[in-house]
Amino acid sequence: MRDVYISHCEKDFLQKIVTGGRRLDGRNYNESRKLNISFGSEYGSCIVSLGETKVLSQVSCEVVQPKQIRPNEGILFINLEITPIAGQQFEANRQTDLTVYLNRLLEKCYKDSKCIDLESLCIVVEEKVWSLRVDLKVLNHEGNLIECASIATLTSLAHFKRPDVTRSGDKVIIHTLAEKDPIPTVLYHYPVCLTFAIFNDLLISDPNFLEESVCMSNMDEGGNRGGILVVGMNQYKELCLLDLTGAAIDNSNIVHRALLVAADRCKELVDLVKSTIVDDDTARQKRVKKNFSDIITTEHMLSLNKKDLSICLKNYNVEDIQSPQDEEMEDEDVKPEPSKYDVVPSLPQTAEIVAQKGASTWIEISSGSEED
Amino acid sequence: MTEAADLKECKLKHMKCELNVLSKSDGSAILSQGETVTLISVNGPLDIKVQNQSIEKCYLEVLFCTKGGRPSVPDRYKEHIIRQTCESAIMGSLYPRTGITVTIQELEDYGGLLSCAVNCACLALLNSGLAMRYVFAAVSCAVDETGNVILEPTYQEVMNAKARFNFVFDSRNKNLITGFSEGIFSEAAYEEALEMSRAASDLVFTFYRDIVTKYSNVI
Amino acid sequence: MTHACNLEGRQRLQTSIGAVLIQLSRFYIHTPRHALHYTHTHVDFRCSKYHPFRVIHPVRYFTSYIERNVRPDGRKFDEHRNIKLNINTIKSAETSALVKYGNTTVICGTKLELAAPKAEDPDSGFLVTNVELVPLCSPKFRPGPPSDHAQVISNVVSEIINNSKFINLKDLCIVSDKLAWVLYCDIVCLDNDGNVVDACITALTASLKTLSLPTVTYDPETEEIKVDTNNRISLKVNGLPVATSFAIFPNCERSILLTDPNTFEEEMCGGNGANITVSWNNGFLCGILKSGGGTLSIEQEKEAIKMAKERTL
Repeated sequence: MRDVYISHCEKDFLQKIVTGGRRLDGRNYNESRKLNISFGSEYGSCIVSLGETKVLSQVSCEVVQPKQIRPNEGILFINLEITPIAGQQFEANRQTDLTVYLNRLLEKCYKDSKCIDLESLCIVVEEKVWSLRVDLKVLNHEGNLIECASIATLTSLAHFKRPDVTRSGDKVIIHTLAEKDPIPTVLYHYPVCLTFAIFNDLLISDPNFLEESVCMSNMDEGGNRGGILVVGMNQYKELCLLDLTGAAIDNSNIVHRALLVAADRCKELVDLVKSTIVDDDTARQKRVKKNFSDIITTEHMLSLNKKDLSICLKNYNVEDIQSPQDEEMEDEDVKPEPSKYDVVPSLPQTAEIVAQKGASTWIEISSGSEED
Repeated sequence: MTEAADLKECKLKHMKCELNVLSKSDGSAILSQGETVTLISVNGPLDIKVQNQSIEKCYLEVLFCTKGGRPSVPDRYKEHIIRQTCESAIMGSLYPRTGITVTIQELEDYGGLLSCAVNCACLALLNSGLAMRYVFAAVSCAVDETGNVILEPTYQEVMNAKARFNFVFDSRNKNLITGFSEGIFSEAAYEEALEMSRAASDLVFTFYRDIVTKYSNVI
Repeated sequence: MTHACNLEGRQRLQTSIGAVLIQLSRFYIHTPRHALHYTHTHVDFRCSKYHPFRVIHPVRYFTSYIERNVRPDGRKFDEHRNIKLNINTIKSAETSALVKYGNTTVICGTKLELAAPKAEDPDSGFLVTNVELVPLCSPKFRPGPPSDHAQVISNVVSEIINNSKFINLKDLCIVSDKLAWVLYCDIVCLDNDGNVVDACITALTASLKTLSLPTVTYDPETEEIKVDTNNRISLKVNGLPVATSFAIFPNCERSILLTDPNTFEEEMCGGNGANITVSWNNGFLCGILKSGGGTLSIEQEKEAIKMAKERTL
C-alpha cells in the first residue's frame, strides 16, 4: 500500500475548523452523509454509497459439508477486498492491515453477534448445509469504510434469498428460482457499525477520508488526542461491538455520548434498510426489472449522489461566515457573491455544481462577456 | 450492399454511460450495454516498484474483479485481452518508468461482458486524460445453429450459440486490434461476423462522441 | 564486451555505460549494412543474440533486417522453423510427446484417472489441460505459483482443444453419473523461444492421438471397478487441430506478418507471445485469437487464415 500524505496546511486547517464548530463539507458534528442503496438484478447484490464512499456487496450460497463441531449449523463467510479501484494507494491482491482490520470488525459484528439464524441453513444434519458467502468490494474510499461496508453486508444479507430445497430419501433437490420461490434469510436482529472520529473532546460522526486521516495522525505529533471509535449496535439499542483505535481516552463521557448518538442513528439506518428492501421486493413482485444500470444517471454529470453537496453548502449563511476570527475568511466576506460558495468545497467536484444547474452555464457566461 | 444499408441493419444494445463516477480515481466510467454493466477505474501514471519499471514505456496493469468468489484462470485471460488492447492504444512511451492501473469491476453479466468491459475501459481512459493513439470499440457477435450471424447476442442466444466472437477495432482505419473466438465455425461465417462488427463499431464510436461532447460542455 | 551483454542486462547497460557505447551504437546505426554483413558471416546465428548492435538498439537492428525482407535468423517472412516430434518420450506417463519448433521445446504427458462425473453433466468425462512455464525455459519466469502469462497460455490451449471438439467428452464416460475418465494433460515448456501455443497444441494432439484407454468393467450392485490394462481401446479423435501463430510487426506502410515467431520477434512486435493464432480442424476454424501488436487490415487477415489453412493440408 502506498502512503497517503496530508499537508500541514490541510491538517491545521481541518483541526481549526473542527474546533471552531464546523466541518469541511458543511455538516454538523452529528450529521451523516447521505446514504443511498441500490440493488442489482440478483438477490443479495447491492451497492451502498455513503456520500462518496461506495461498497459493492454480493451474497452467494452453495451446499457444503458442515463443520464437525457444529453439525447442524450453516456457515457464514464474510470477505472484504480493497482493489486499486478504491483509490490509487491500494495494490491488487494484497492483504493490508486495513482489510484485516475491517474483516475482523465485520466478523465480530455479524458472525459473533449471532444475528443470522445459522440453524435454518441446515439441510441434512452432518451432511449438507448452506454456506453463505458475502463478498464486499470497496469501489471508492472516501472515509468511513466500516459503516458503509456494514450497511452493505446487512442489506445484502437481508435482501438475499436462497433457492428452495426438497428432500426425497437420500437425494436433495435444489430448485431453480423459476421452479419454486426462494427463501429469505432469517435475521434475529440488525446490527450496524458506526464510526466516530475523536478530536480531543469532540466527537464527529461519519468522518470522511480527510477527517479520519487527520484525527489518526494527530496522535503522532502529541498535544492533540485523536482516535476512531467504532460502535456496532442493533435496532434494539443493544451493543454488539466497540472498537477504539488511536489514543486512549481519559474521559468515559465520550463513549457515552457516542452510544447515545449511535442508538438513534442505528434505529434510523435499520428502518431505512428494511424499508428499501420492502420497496424492492414489491417492485420485483410486479416484475419490474432491477439492474445496476439504473444507477447510471444522465441528469447530473459527475457522480452518483453528489447532489447533497449544494444543499450542505446552503447551511452557511452570511452571518455564519462573518463570525470566524480568521482573517482569510473575512477577506472573502467583503464580497459575498453567491457564486463564491462553489469554490468553498475546494474538492475536484467543483464543476459538479455548475453541471447540475444546466450544462451550458459556461457558454452563457462567455457569450455575455462578448456582448459587453 | 452499401454501407448505409449495413448500418441500418445492425442495432446494438442500449448503451448508458456515466464518467467520473469515483472521486478517488484519476478516471472512471460505468457503462451498461443492455443488462450487462461494468465499472472501471483508471489510475496513473503512478510510482511503481523498480522491478516493474521500464525505461521505454509505462507498465500497464489490468485487474479484473468478479462480483463474488475467487479469481480464476479465465479472469487472467480477460485481463490479458484487455491489457493487450489498452497497451496498443495508450501512448506508453510518454510515461516512462511509471505504471498505469486499470481496474475492472463486473456489476452485472448478461452476455457480452468482455466487450462491455473493453468499451468501458476506453471511456475510462478518455476520462483519465491519458494520451492515446486512437480510441477502440468492441463488438460481440454469435453464430447460431443455422449459421446466422447475430450481432450483440442476448444471454439466451449466447448460451445456444455455436460460436461466439469478440472484436475490437480502432477508430482510425477500423483495423482489428483484438479479436477472439469461441466454438467452431466456417471461414465464411467468420468473415461475415467480422464485417458486420466492423460496421457496427461505428455506432459505438458515435456513442463515444456523444458522451465526450456532453461532458466537454461541463469541464 | 559482447559476452557481458544479454537482453536483461540491456537496461542497466544502457544507463550505466555511457559515452563509449553510445559512440559505438552511432557507428552501427550509420552503417547498418556493415552490421548485417557482420552477423551473416557468423556460422551459428544464435551468436547474434549478443551482437552489440542488437543489444543496444534492438528495434533498429530488427528493422534493418525487415527492410531487407529477411528475418534476423535468416528465415523468410512466411517460413516456419523445423519441427521435430518425438512420441512416448516419458515412459512413466500414459502417453507423451516432445515437440521442438526450432529452439522452442515443449513436452506433454497424459495421465488417466477415474472419477465420478459432474451432477450437471452426467454423461461427460473430463479433459484437464495445464501449461507450465518453468523458470528453466526462460530467464523471464520465476519459481512460484503460475505467472499470469502461463495462465493465459494455459487458457488459450484448453480453449482451442475444447472448441475444436478434438475429443468428444462423452467418449470418456464409462457409466453415466457414476464413472468417467479424467484425462490430465500436463504440458511443460523446457525451452521458450517463442510460439509456445503452437508447440503446445502439437504436443497435446500427438499425445492424445496415441492414447488408448484401458477397458473398465463396473458392477452397479457391488460398485466394484475392474480395470483391465492389457485390453486397451484407442481413444477416438476428431480431425487434427493445428494452430499457426504469427507476429505482426507494425511497419510504417503496412504491417508485416511473421510466421512462427521466436522470442525476439515476439518482443519486437510488442506482444506477450504471438499476436495472432489461427487454428483449423477438419476444414473448420476453431479459434482465431488476435491480441496486441500492430493492427491488421482485412487482406492481411485473410492471408493469415489462408496460410494457416494451407499448413493443415
